[in-house]
Amino acid sequence: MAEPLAVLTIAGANYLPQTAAMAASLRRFHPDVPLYAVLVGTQTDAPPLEWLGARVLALGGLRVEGLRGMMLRYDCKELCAALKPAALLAVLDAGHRTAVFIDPDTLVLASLEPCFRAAAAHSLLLTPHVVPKAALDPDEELERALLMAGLFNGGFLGVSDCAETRAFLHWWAERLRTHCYEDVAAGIHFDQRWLDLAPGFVGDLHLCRHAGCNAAYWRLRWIRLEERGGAFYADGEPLRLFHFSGYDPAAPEWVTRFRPGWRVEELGEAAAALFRQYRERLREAGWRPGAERGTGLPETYKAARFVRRARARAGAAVAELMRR
Amino acid sequence: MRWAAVTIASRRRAALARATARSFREHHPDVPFWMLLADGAHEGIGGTAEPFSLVLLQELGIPDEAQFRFRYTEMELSYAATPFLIAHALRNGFDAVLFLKQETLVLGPLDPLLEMLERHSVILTPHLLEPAAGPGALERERNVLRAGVFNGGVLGFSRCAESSQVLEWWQQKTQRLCLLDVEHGLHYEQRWLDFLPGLARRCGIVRDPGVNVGHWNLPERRIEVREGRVTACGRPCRVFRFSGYDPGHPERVTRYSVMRVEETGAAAEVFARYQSLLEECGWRETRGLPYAWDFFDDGVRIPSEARRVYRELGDEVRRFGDPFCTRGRNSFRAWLGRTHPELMEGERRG
Repeated sequence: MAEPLAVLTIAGANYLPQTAAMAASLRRFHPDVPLYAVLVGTQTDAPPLEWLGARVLALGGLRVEGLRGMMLRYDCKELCAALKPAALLAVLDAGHRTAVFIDPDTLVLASLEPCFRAAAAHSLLLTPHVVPKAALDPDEELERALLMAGLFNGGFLGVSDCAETRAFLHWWAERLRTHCYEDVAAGIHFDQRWLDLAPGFVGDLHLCRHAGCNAAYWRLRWIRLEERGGAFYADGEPLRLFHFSGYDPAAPEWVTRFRPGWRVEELGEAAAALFRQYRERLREAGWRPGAERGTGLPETYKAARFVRRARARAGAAVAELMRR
Repeated sequence: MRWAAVTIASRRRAALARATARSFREHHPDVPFWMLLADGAHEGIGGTAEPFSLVLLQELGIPDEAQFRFRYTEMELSYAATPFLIAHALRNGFDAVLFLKQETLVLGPLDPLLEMLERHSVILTPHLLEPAAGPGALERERNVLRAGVFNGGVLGFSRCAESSQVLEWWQQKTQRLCLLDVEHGLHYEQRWLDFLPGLARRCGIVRDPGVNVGHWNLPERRIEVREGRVTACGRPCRVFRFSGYDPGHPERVTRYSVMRVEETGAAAEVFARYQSLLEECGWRETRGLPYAWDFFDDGVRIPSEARRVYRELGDEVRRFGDPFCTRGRNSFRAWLGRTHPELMEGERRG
């Protein structure tokens, strides 16, 4: 019998240290929860993850319709995002009733049990970027960005096996086969904007509102972050999962590339300590300054660059043509 | 529970509000129905024979109201006033308020929505309750992503701290950003609704296929009409929306797509019913009425470019005072004439 719940992550080869740091942090609080990993663009770098007990899902083993076409039309980031629903289905097919996706650029900092329980109790669990406090103290720059990028964060979500969930994942996979890139005017932002349709498509949708679950730069304005006795707290509750979205350890003074000019030191003591700790954990996981050697993608992926250039040059019409 | 239904229209769309009100009255004769005239008062609208109670914009207490009226075109203003009207009705003692946008036909009692409002601070209706099907499915989904996941045509708010917070937030948005600019994620008042599930813990999603049937979901909603009773996917159809419908071109479903009424199956009967109700409500008389706030106070038409220039000035516009006023060197008109002379060229008294 498979374990009732498993975690899934998907990473490009350039994100291996992040993936390893996330996996180690998950292990610490959930040693018995299986971790599945899909690695895009690498074979040789897989062993470190297996040492951490991750079950590596081979790309070829996923049931993805039109995988070769996707490898051509998407770059590494786009492809990682586009594989999400198929990989979640693969975890359900392995016999787990609940699959929780966690982005590699995160750290588990306390037990995720409350989130896991909620994920197991509902067809779909999503985290909204904004919290109710945001109505009282609006952050207009963020709001404008979220209108373009999507209201729910694609970095942490849970699915439980049922007809409704499977129908949703099949639809999502079908859309991402051809439309997983950034084109705001067309209503597309990688895998994420499609999730905005979930409140209509999924009746048993649960919105996870724990302040400390999938917290990230987009929530720092509204949550009170504290460090006590080596542990972090968000609004007095344990900080369970922090998402270092857009953080670059090679430029550690900046919070996120999505909001240029925002310094880690402006975040206050606890958050700054958290970011320092993250960088330290990335080092332990093998990250080194200047170690980004590109994505290590084989030739098929490189063809995507040509497609992207064509898209930029000739506009959407050409891109549509090449996607067929 | 004391509740009311509210709608908004400008003078030339007043017949649409009448049609909505009359169809609502058939099912809820004793429930107040308010119509906000998002336009200057008019002797032909709001008399004792109307199926609605008239509300004027100045009753809503919109901050800097003259600026608000100047910033937007006729249609934008009608949309932008939505959260202000709902908040106004809740302040006036109703426990719950249903907003029904113009171009709506009520076909059945709305009690299920009221029941939801006993448990929720706000209720929203998604455009799509399942993936779009048939030709153009992907395009329809993308249109929804651009325009907003929830339709602004049927909304409910109950009186509580959470709904007043959310309404105040929404008012701040429509005060300045009730615009169409899909490249930057804006779609009038409607796109902002996408935030509500995140902002309101007690936000309810209406997943009844009989509520808010419209051109965006017609292919999925199996419409049947038996002995005058309309059903959608086998459920009673309570609210049908005619977004973009032009009674001058009754063969077209909407100006937003090429769909023809004759292709909609049994729904064609509902369109015919709406058309004849609009005739009874006098759409031919109201459609020619001028929009009061299309003109400066000397009767010269306001070019839409001038509204854009005004919006882009942000808070600087305070120094002009009432932007419709043309007297004095400090008026917006005088400033516009100095800085953008080309904009006012050829503009005549309307």
